[in-house]
Amino acid sequence: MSQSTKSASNLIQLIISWSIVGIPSLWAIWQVVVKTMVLFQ
Amino acid sequence: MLSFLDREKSIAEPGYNRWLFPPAALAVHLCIGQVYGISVFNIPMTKLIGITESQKGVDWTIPEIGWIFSIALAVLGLSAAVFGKWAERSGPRKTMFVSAVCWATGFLVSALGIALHNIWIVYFGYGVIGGIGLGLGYISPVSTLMKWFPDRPGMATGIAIMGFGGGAMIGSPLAVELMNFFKTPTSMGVWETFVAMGLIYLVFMLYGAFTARVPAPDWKPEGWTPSAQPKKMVTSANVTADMAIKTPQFWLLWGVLCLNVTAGIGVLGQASPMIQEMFLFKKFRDMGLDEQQVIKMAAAAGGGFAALLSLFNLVGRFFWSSLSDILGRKTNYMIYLGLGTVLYALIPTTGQLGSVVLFVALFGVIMSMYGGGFATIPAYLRDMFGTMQVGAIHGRLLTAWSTAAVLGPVLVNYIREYQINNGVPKAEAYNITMYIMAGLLMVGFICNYFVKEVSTKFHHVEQSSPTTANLQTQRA
Repeated sequence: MSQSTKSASNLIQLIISWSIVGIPSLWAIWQVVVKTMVLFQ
Repeated sequence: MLSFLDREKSIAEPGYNRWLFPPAALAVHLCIGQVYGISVFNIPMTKLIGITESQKGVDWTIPEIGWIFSIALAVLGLSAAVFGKWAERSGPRKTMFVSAVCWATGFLVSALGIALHNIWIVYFGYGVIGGIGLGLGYISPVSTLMKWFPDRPGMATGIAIMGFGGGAMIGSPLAVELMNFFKTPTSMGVWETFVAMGLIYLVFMLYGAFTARVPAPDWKPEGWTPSAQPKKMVTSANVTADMAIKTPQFWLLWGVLCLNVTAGIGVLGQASPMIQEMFLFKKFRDMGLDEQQVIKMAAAAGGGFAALLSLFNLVGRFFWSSLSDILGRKTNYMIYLGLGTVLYALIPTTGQLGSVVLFVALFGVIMSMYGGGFATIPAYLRDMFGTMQVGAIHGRLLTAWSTAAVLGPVLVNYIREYQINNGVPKAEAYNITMYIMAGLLMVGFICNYFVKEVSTKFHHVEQSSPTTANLQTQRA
């Protein structure tokens, strides 16, 4: 496997891996932000 | 048959990007962190038979349900302590795999207990089997993260342990959505939710297990060389787990963690009623709302406050542990415990000033440091005892967490009840508690002050290549 192919494959793996854990985390943070709005109304 | 899970089979190939390991660790920690959100099932579980309302003498009570969480946390500490050395030997992939199986099985067994309405099956399922999954999952990525990031060990472990803080933030709303989905006129949808969550977590955690890689023994980050000058309070030697528990440093750090967590966990569970009784009831009454509306609005805003604190707890885990790579672990704990003492002592003043913004801000910083205390401890242990068995040592130290999980809520609840029974107004009943928590942190501060480098007599002697420190010991 050439160096550039390896780098591209690594980058794709990084994006997929971080998306798998990042998307549910961002959804959870959004839920907290919505709940917190009530406190400062 | 399961040899593909062995440490030797999970060594990364050259060119593997080390930033692929933190998502694997997060996949596990985000799942097991659900334990902090278990209270979302409290009310539905008290109405499993009555459905519309709890049937006295038949349905489970809140204290009975509360034991599920306590057992799970106690087993977490015990299993991390007992299986820590096995986890260190087996590597993260096998440990994550076993953790995933235990965690998911815990949910499935509990689902059976809920369907049969037998609380003992739930204690055994979620509390014992799930608790073992918790302990193994919690320690599984820690030492590997520090091996992948020797240049930033605090930040690396902070990422994973941040996931544990975020687990409840995902698990709680997910459980609510699932219960609403499965709810029927004859079922609260709880056992179905347990089955669904067990399967979701199994898939997620197995993803983490199968993508986990350990670095080759001689691997180093590109362009990084270990500092030739020995750093103060950072050892280059190793101490075994069995030897570590014989050192005063281990027990001082045990005390530091226990006291920091006792103070934090004690107020975390009380956050919502505390802000309601200190500020919100008065605020909404002054707005001219009727009592029903006051209670409803205060409960919603109190829930928002608890959610905000969980966010501070989460962010603090990453922020403070990353900062410890610059400031040093001991300095970080001086801040957590010293500043924490001052902030806890200031809480009653915010009540007297009637400043809800100041109250929220102070608690935000306190909670961030509570999370920071959890996230920085693995790197502190690594600095004291080396990387060789740091996962196992961390596992043993987690018994401090189990102790604090019982001590904190009991202390806060008991002191509060005692004061109210003696005629102290509800809004002021938290003041003494805050001063006691400040006192606990002060004791923790003193423990941390006495942490010094581990004596060379405890260092592990390599058979083939003794370290300089050990050579010195042998010569001495």
